[in-house]
Amino acid sequence: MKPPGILRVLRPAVASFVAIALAYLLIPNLVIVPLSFSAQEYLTFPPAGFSTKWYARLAANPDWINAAANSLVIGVPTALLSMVLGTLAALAVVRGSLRWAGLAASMVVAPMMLPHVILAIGLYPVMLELGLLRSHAAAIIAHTVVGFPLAFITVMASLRGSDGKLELAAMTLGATPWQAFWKVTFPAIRPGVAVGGILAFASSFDELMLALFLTGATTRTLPRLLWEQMSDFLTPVIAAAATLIVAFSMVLLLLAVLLERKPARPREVA
Amino acid sequence: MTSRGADLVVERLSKSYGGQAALRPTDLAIKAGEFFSLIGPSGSGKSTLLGCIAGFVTPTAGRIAIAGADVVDVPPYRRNIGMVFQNYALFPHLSVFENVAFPLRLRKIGSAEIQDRVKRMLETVRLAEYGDRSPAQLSGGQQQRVALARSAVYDPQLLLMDEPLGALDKNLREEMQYEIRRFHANMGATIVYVTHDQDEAATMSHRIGIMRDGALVQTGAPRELYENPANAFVAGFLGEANLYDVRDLRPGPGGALKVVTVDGLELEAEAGKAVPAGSLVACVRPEAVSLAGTDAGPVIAGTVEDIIFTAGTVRCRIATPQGARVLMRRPLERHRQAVAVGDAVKLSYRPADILLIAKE
Ligand SMILES: Nc1ncnc2c1ncn2[C@@H]1O[C@H](COP(=O)(O)OP(=O)(O)OP(=O)(O)O)[C@@H](O)[C@H]1O
Ligand SMILES: [Mg+2]
Repeated sequence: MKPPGILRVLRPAVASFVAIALAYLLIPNLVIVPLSFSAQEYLTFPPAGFSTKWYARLAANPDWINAAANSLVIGVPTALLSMVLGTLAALAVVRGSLRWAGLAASMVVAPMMLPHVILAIGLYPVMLELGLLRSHAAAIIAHTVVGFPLAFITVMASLRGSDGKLELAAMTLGATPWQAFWKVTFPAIRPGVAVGGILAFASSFDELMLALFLTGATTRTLPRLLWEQMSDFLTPVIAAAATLIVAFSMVLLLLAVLLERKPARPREVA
Repeated sequence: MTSRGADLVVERLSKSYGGQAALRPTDLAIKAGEFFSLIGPSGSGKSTLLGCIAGFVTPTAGRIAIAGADVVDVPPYRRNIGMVFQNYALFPHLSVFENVAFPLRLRKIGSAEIQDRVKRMLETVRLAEYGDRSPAQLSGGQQQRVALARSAVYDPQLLLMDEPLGALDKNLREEMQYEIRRFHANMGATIVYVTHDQDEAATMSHRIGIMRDGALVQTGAPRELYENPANAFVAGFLGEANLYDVRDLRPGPGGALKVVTVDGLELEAEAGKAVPAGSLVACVRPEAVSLAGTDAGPVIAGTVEDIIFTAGTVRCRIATPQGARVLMRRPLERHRQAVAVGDAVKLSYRPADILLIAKE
């Protein structure tokens, strides 16, 4: 597709603007990378010398290993729950004949807009009452509130892009609604579901505020440990941990982008 | 592979959306193996009626029986009907072969038999070589043939088609009309076919049902509907018609009936035929009028206003001094006596061809 005229004329300008915007978005995240290879004992900028000892120290410290494990134990169920709930909600809004579909969609998305601290203050007494405070479950529940809208949005987009008539067609051909979903709808929305799951996982993996309120010493996540260490020891270990978190998140996002770009193509047969 | 079709009975079937009637109480009986078309303007309830039969639309009231069995409470996937959609609705993630195999796999049929039946069905729609392709790699007509194969491979007794050729261009449409007729002849299934296109309906069907505002106005064989339309709407919808609001009926010369129209046109109709109650419309088909030759009889005088040539036919529009318009249609060959725009002409017709029908 040819770009419209105005964009073609402005292309160099647009390109440089995009480059600046990307630099603006990325550089703050990348500043910590050189810091993590510093040879000095304290976080200083600009860093001096080169050493990988901070990564070794990171690997040797069971606190970081535990925190990484906690992040996974919380992130993976969060992603799974978000995918299931997001898909169900998107099906109801897009395919159902809800009178208030628009309102329902806004309600689902609302937690994304609200400051996490408000969510945290709200969930704290509830978790306390349920006896779940400082458990993995508390963080999973809280992170799912934030992750579910992400999956909802991506699944909704792929559902809108797939034809609802296909499900009706499957049913006339003898498929029960359950079979129609798994054999026809799901293959079409699979990329959206996967991307939603990845985004939900990434949001859980990077989340601090809810973790501060709801996790404890044995269930703390990587962002929480990072936060705690920041106030106690300002060593480049923190930068090393942060670098790994950023790298991991970037890989996840890259995965999401790749999945999303791949259209639901029929398999090519020679 | 001749599966016997099922008969379909619809009784007092209606559907309303929030008080708005999409389908008014409708009765319809379709015989086993019949090819029945539904036509009507957009929004007249064709898809709603078809949806009720398929099971996508829950009727507000009424009864549907397929092969004698009440199906209103049976979900679509247990009605054992086939359906073909306008946009084909092929599964994009499956190959052509797997699309056609889909209903058979659901029915847990052995894979050897599936291979066999899908292959035969693809041969029937002349796509034997295309099994490995994905639907996106086919033309519109080919995709619709796959959809046809998929909806018929499990031998449903009833096939529903909602404007299956609506997305195709004219030539392809005619080819597919032939294809579907051939298919119907092979299969023997009962077909309910929705179309916008009256010619298509007339070409393909044993009988046609004409819908308007959610109601079935008239059903009958194409010729029956054309020759005896129930009202002005049917006359105007199925084929071309000159329609004139009637002001007065009087005894005419020689025991004929004189029809005076609101336009001031005076026509002679056959007396003694039953005339519907209420407001009347006089209907004259454009091929029932011709340039007056030597034979005496009633004539309409006027001036040629417009001449249109289309493949094989000529249409002339004649304006009468009273301001009425008469459309005349003739095969091109018969139009040897050249008329030109502005010529004064006399049109003759047979009184038997003046139909007096209900306005509504
Ligand atoms: N889901 C729905 N909700 C509300 N009204 C509907 C719905 N489906 C159809 N209708 C209304 O019912 C009427 C009949 O619609 P239907 O789709 O049966 O028409 P149709 O004859 O198939 O028209 P077309 O030729 O355009 O396909 C229309 O007025 C339409 O607006
Ligand atoms: Mg329709």
